[in-house]
Amino acid sequence: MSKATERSTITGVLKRIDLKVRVNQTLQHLSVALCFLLGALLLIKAAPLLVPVSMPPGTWVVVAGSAAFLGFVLWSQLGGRRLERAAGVLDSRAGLNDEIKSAYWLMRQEDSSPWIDLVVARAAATAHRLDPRRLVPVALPRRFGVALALFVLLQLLALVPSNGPVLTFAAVSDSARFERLQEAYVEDLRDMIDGVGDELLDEEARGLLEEALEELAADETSLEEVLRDLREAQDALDEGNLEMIATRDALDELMQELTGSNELAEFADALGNQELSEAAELLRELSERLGDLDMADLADLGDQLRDASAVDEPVIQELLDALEDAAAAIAENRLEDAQEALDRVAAALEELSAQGAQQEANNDAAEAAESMQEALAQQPGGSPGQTQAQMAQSASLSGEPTDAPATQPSSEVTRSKGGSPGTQSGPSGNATGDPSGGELELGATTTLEAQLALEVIDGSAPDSPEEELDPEDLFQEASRQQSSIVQYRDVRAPSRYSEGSALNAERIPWRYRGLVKKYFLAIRPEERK
Amino acid sequence: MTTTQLDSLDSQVNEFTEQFQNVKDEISRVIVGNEEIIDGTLISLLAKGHVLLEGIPGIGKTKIVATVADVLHLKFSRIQFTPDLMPGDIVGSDVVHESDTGEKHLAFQEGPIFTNILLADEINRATPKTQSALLEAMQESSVTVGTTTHELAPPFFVLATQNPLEMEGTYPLPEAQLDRFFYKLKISYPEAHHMHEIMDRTTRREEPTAGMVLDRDQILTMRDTARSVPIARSVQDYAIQLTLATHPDTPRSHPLTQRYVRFGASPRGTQTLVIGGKVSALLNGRVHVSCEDIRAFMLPALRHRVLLNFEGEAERIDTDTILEAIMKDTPEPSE
Repeated sequence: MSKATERSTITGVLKRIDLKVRVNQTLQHLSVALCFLLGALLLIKAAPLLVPVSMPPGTWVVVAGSAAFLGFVLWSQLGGRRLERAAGVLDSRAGLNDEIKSAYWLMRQEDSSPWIDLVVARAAATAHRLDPRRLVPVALPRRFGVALALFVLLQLLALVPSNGPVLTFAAVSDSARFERLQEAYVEDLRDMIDGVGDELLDEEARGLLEEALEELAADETSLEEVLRDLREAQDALDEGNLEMIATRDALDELMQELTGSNELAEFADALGNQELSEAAELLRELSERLGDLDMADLADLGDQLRDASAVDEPVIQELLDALEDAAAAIAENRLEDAQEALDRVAAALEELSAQGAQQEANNDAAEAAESMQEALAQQPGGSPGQTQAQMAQSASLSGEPTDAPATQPSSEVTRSKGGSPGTQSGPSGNATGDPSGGELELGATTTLEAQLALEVIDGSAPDSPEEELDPEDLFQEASRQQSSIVQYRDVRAPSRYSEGSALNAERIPWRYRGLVKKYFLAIRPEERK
Repeated sequence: MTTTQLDSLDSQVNEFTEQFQNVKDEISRVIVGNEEIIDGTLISLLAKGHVLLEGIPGIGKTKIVATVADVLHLKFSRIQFTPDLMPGDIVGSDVVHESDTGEKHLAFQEGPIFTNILLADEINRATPKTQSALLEAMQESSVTVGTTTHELAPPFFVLATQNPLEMEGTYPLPEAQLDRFFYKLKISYPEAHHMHEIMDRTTRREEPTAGMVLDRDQILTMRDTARSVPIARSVQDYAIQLTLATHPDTPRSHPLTQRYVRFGASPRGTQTLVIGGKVSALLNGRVHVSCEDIRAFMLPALRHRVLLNFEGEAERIDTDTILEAIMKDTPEPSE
């Protein structure tokens, strides 16, 4: 075997070994990358089932991971052949005691000697006997088994139905929590609009609500506009509340006047209980059996109706007029006219009952709209930290009508968020109920003063004087954060650089500074006058 | 390079191995066990080095050296080191000679150091001044007396024995002298079956003797052969890495080194590893040095070159422990 043949034999074997080493190395990297990728996908899939977290889309992870892997493989293979490494692998696998490695290094040196030729010749003979396929076989790493197991697990996990996270933490991410709250509110409001009859809900308010929901679903309108529509709808829905309260007060007063009558006792009770339909029914029964009453009872009834009709309540003037007509007809013994007048009273009562039912529906819708406003205002992705009061402030600044005060003193912020009067649901505390469960569970009532005090103690002050924090924000912030987030402020920052340098260069011990200062003050020259 | 030349080199390697084995076999007729000691001694001889044998009295140190001298057809001297031994007693001195005509002149009287194999028995019983008389001879193979330098005939091979330093009446060898020894070999107690063999051989009427199997020229040829073995850069780098790991103040130093070592091995230590590796490769029938050859005699090559600090001395750390840790933790080059 000539010298060139010997060297080419060694190089040839090393090239084959190098190829196999590269293939095995790439397979190793591929198996590791697959394990990481599948592990990440598994985490993305499994984590939301266990804990309430938001994860990136799996497609992005796959694309980014594949790109990174390809880049790494290209980078690792760009170095060209590494026959020295192949020689090391060959020596190690075949137990050659560095024979090939030594020969490969020696044959590349310029120096030549019979001993080097002997080393190369022996190494060539050894390399000729070796079987690279047996020594360095291309084998799939065991990690592919792990990757396969992860893949199977991923497929199995896809079959698991998602009913929300198993575990819930106190510190649920704001984004996810408010997103779910918002969805729940939208659903409630939609159900309410669809479920309530057209005649019950205020037409203008219904239009505004539907418009706001469509904007929200389309996700094209700004959050401010959606909130403005919702607030206008809420205002429209709340408009009838004052009239309804006045009507109820008037009916209460009417009930007081009618309490003394035997024939009208049940009717008065029904009025007192605000059961107007029942009261109308009772009045119609009385009207039917008016002819059965004796003269004394009729006279008593007439007197009671006359007294009652004298109540000064313009809200129910139509009803009072009918009562007065009935009283006059009874007094003049015109029973048919009295019956007709009583029927008019009953009809007026039924009309009031219908108005009350409509206002109740309006109030429910207003409450849902308000709740949704809160959810939208607190949505971290939309307008972070923007609360209803802030929205009201922005609306007022833009010249639009609003009933929310722009700024309120902290001690006056304890207004109820329960909706209409009479439907007390308490102030909005820490709403931690499951929104998917239908009705929200409201937390224990908290007073705003206490929340504000905590925030003030924790130093949640606005960063700049211009950015004055609304007390409503403090309330919402406290409820949302559970604990204050106070930015770290370096108190030394205001000190100038020169001051810092002087302090650093100072070599006088602190306790002697006063003495040194006194000394220099004592020896300083007199100031020129 | 023709095939004939390669065959010639091949036969040279085989002859080296065969002659080495013959010497070992002959020594084994007298010495029981202690193969590592015999190998180390012969490798030192072939690597142009010197050997320091350490062991308690009575375990055959002097016997081994005497037997090695017996199998080699070389001039042999023995110096029994004692506290009152003077340098002049070793190297010789100028003495007054009177000629036949009655004229007197100074003539150099060679000391026992003018030999091929010198047995320096119990070298640490002499004072450091006397011990240092060997320095020049061991390193330069020459002796300077007055203004005259006298060359020592090759091969010059010092076999020194010493008792453990803890024994009474011993003077530790200076670091410079220790560094001159190629290997420091530690002889331990023989095992039970070896003890039987020793009893069988030495309590009979006639003790076995070793015959001469290697002459001076053969030894010099073997020395040349050993030095001709090439070594790859990666293997040489491995030897350097092992040496650097014994240095306490370098980034490559071993944690044990940093804690217990005052001075690490010198470049002479690395030379020892490489040359010893070459001989070891030939003994294994190879013409290239492997990392295994470097490791094979690392302990005797470096154990006397690593000097412990106070903490190491106080905790009675054995340098072998540190070197074994270095061998274990220093990876072989992969390329």
